[in-house]
Amino acid sequence: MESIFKIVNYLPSTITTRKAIEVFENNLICSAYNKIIFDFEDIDFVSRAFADEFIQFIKNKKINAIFIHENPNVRAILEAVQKNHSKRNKTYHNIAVTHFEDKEKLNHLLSLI
Amino acid sequence: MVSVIKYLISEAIDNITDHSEVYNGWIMAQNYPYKGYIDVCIVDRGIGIKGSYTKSGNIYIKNDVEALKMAINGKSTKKTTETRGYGIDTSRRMLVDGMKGKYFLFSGKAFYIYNSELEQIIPLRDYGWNGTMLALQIPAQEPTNFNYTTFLE
Repeated sequence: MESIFKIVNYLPSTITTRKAIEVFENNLICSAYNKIIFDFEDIDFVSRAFADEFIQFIKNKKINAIFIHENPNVRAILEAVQKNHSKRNKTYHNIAVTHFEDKEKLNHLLSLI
Repeated sequence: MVSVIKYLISEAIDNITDHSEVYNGWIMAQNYPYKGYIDVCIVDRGIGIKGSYTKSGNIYIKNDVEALKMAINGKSTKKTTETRGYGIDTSRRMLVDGMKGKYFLFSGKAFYIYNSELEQIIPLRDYGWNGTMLALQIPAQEPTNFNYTTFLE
């Protein structure tokens, strides 16, 4: 069974929070391995955080998902998240820690920033 | 450019809703057209970055300096760690490495400053911020050939 879910009918064109996934949970009727076409027409932007929740939602519900009408930015974010759901490649980044005993020296540094 | 600003702000605001344990925060933005940048400051009075790690049961992070190091390195406070924790790291690299902007993150008794000349964490002895404060200086013009999606992980 296949259905189309037009996202802009439920969410604004800019989707920024993880909480927005509740709209899918409350409005999407699906059973495992259903084919659902997620229509991103008129969705200008999705945050990485929302995309993470969305991809996780699709995985958890075992939805056979197809995305259509994503703009290039939305597509890039969805692809980045999907890529990292399968593999995370991270090296540790060392950062210098500097203690200032003298408030004047600290203020001087802050004035340079 | 609009997408970059949306990305930077959305990641920061989502951190308030997801981690701070408070229901509101503040955002201030000021455009400096002649100086060529926009200053944005996003603030909450929540539990702070260290508080978020502590709440999630991470007993190894003993102070605000360690918490900042972990956050900048993308270690999420949430249990599903593999897919989370990208917001701060991606945002700072996008803004500074990509756009030559400035990134300032202050939580508890330490702050992190990152710009094209300097990257440091500075612990404070006598004062701090109960919560988290993020200040971004976003250049008004993107560099030539800049594509923010290349910084996405």
